[in-house]
Amino acid sequence: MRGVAIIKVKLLQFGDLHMDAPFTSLSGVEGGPSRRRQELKQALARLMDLAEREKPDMVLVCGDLYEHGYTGKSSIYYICDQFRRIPEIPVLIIPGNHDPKLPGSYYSDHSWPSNVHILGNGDIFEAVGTGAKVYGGMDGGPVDPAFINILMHHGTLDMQFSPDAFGPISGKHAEALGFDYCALGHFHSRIMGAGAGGIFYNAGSPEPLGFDEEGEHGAILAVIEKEPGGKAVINADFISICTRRFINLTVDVTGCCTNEQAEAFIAGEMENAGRKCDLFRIRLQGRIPAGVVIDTAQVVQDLADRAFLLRIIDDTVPDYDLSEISREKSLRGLFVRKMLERASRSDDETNGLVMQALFYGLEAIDEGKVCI
Amino acid sequence: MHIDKIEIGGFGKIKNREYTFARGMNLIYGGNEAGKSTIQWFIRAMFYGLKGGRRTAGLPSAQKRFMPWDGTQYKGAITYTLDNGTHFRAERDFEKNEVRIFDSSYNDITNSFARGRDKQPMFADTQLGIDETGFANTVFIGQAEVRLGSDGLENLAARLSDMDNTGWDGLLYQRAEAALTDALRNRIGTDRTRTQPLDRLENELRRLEAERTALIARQKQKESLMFELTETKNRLMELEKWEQWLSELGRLIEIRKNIDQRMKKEALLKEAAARLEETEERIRSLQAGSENIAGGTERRQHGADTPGRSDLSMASGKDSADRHKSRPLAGIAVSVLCFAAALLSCLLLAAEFLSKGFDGLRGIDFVYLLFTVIFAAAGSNLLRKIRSERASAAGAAVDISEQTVPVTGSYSSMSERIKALDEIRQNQLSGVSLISGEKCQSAADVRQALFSVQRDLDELSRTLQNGLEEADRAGRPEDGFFSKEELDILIYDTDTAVLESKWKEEYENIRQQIVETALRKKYCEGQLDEKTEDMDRLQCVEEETVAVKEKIAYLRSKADALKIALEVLEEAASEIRRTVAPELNSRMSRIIAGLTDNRYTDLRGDDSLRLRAAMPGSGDVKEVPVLSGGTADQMYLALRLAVAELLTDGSEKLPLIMDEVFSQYDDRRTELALKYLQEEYKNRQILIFTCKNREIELARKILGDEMNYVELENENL
Repeated sequence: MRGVAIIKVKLLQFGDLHMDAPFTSLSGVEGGPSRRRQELKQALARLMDLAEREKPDMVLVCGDLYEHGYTGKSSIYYICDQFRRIPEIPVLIIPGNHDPKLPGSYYSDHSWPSNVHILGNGDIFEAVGTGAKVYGGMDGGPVDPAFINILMHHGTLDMQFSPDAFGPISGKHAEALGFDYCALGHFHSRIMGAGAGGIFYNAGSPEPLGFDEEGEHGAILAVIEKEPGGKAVINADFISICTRRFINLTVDVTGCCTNEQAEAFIAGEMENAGRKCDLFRIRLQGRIPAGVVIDTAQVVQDLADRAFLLRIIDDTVPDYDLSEISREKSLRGLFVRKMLERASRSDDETNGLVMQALFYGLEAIDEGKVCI
Repeated sequence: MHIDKIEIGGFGKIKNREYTFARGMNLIYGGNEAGKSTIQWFIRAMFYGLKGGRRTAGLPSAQKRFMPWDGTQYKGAITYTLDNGTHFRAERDFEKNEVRIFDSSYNDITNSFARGRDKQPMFADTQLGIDETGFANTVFIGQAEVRLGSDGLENLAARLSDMDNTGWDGLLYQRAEAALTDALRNRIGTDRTRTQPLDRLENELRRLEAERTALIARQKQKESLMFELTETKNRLMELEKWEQWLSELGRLIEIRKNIDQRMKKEALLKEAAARLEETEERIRSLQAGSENIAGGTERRQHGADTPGRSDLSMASGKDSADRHKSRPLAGIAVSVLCFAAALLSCLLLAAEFLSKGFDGLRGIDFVYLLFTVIFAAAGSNLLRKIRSERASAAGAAVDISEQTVPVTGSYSSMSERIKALDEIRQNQLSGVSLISGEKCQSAADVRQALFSVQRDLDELSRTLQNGLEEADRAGRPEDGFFSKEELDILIYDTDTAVLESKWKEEYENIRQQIVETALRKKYCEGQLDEKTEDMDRLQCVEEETVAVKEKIAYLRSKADALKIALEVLEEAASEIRRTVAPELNSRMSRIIAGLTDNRYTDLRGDDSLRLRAAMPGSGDVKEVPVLSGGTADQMYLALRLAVAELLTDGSEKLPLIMDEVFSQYDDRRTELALKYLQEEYKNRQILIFTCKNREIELARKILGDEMNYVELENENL
């Protein structure tokens, strides 16, 4: 760095917003899905707030910005209005598997603001004054080491290339082509500095979309510096912008005999784990007295004001002393022995089913009824 | 337990009757319709009550069946003693469906018993240790009901599966099986149900999937329309570009027409100017001649050798006319020669073609063809020129002949000639004025008009050239437009009328296409007017579909668990029955041996208590139902007695209450049976209802004073 001009570029990266997607994780919640879709639009506005504050040299949108099958023109107009807020900053978009650039699609047919550029595989955008080139795919030809070469890609990185894998790329291959930074999309979980060269970054979805997307969500703000022809130095920070989180909890309600007792346990765990604006999926475990049934629907209703969404899965088991019962010389005892034997032979997937059958049978024998 | 006394207040045909029974064998004798079965049922009803409800198997409910015909009281009482010696009395009002139980001190202990679903105290289940169904399938044998149906056998088999259960409800297997089946059928749903939760969810899922399919089809149609709209817009742009280009071309055609008109005008003006100049020249020469004449002979004499100007002009005009006349002759000769040469070439070519055919033609033959074309064209071109020159010459000759004015003559005729020429000049000027559109009063004016036309022509030519270059730039040949060379040929070389006609046709065609394409664009835009309902609905359908699928999966997993529980429960029950079977079979064999005096000694029941016996002598195993009526009855009696023994082993010994149980027995069998019952069931109360005297006699013979005889009167009929 002695007297050599260092090139530097600052970028804001996000992807997988999935605007207008159906929210199947909120299915059955009155008004939940539509509210969440509105929150995705607000997330885009917050991303543009961030861009206005941070003034990056460019904004990279790594695919799945909207849902092709569900998005209407009003949403596209909204997106364009948001991008127009930063007219001096190029917004580079690559299509994803949910927003492909098909004939007649909004990427092909709509008039986007002048600072927005839709890049296809083979397209190269040179950010004037930054010394950076952004490639819309690996088909852009050999990179020029004199530039900071940024690859945008929507797909899977270094995963088993099954027929279902979308846009699979090899990290080694991308690094070998000379890219200094790879902005990824497709997976909704965050990736920071993956690959042998540590050049792969995936911001994940700005707002979580399901219970498999726990934790904070947002965007990546990265500064890349490089001597022309040299190795790039990347400083990337994750910026959280999400308003809600999906939280999976397991609550042990062993010994609870009433709904109220169970609710107290659950409420305590919820308060420790999250906020009222979050979405909770709670799995109840433990042993409760035989014949006692926790009315999960009632619990959800009673605790509804403690979360944006509350789902409860009852995995509790009745508090039978199965080893004691199995020693009985009766129909009951023989039934339990047979069920335990079957459970021992079952795999993990069916073991739960067999145990459930055991408890149903015991309830039927003892109580003459079965609660479903 | 044994029954001490029954008090019938009113039950069926019987009213106000009491019957006392002994601890051991009791024979209750009565003729037909004496009320034997009624009394037997009374005993059962006192312990377990009577069921109301609908008719079953064609019979009214039990409660209605035994209602007194005359509307009198419908009630009774029973006193009984348990094996431990405690006495009890039960009083029941069948009409009000109420029962009260008193202990030996007449304490009302009704509420000390658990109540069943009908809210009645289940004192018999508790004290006797068996429920009504078990009671009816074991110790209570109705008239001609000793054989058990499949339900009864199933019931007994189930009881045998759970003999260790000491609760008052001993039918755990059946109860558990019923609970699991009820949950599966009524709270989840099976393949046979139509209205249960799983069925409703699956119907809902089908509906949602159908709606989703329809919405996606509309979505695809929308995408197709979007694609078509893009294509239509592009097409419209191309057509409008083409229209614009055609408009420009039209303008150029118009310029070309103007040029043609101007050129004609120019030619006419040139010709007119030439004639006018001639006329004026003649006038001037005549005027000069008249001056000469006026000046006298001197001038004439002076100018004798000098031909007059007019003579010269005439001569020149005449010469000109003569030249016009002689030129065509040469031209005609040349054109004839050209045509002859063309004909010769054609004949040579024809000869070659006829002799050799098309494939045999050589290069020289094509030369003949070329010569034919060239000479023919040259000849016709020359002919055309000659005709044109002859027309001009005729005109000049006419002019000259018209304009010939005798030079000689008097002064006055000279003036007249001048005057005539002047008139001609005026006419010519008028003609020129008409042609030029400007008033021309002199040759100078004509020259000016001609100059103006020529200037216009230059201007138009420049405009046309610029227009052609502009048109060339506007439409690239690769886009389907004409090239520069093609444009030049089109504008300059094509007949204007043909060009204009073709242009008009093409322009109208393009306009039509533009209108149609614009309409199609409007249609696509109209169809694509954002209907958010479909997109919102698709999202909702997706969400609802997932929710329904989750519920279906949840219920199906519950159903699977219930099925596993049922399967294992049945396995366990069968296994228990199999362990109980040896003991049961042993007892049945012992009993049947006793009842048949060892004629049959091997009687067994399978897991479902279907009975099979080994035939005496052969040892062949036969199913009991195929045996004779009396033998089968004995075997089913053996089954009932064996099960009763097993179920009550260690608990209350229940009385055997049997109505006409020996009806199919011969005397020998009846005697054997009575003996067996007396010997084997000494400690058990037996109530035998019969209408047969012989049974009474046999009983007396076997039992003597140990038998309690009860005779029913018939006065209640």
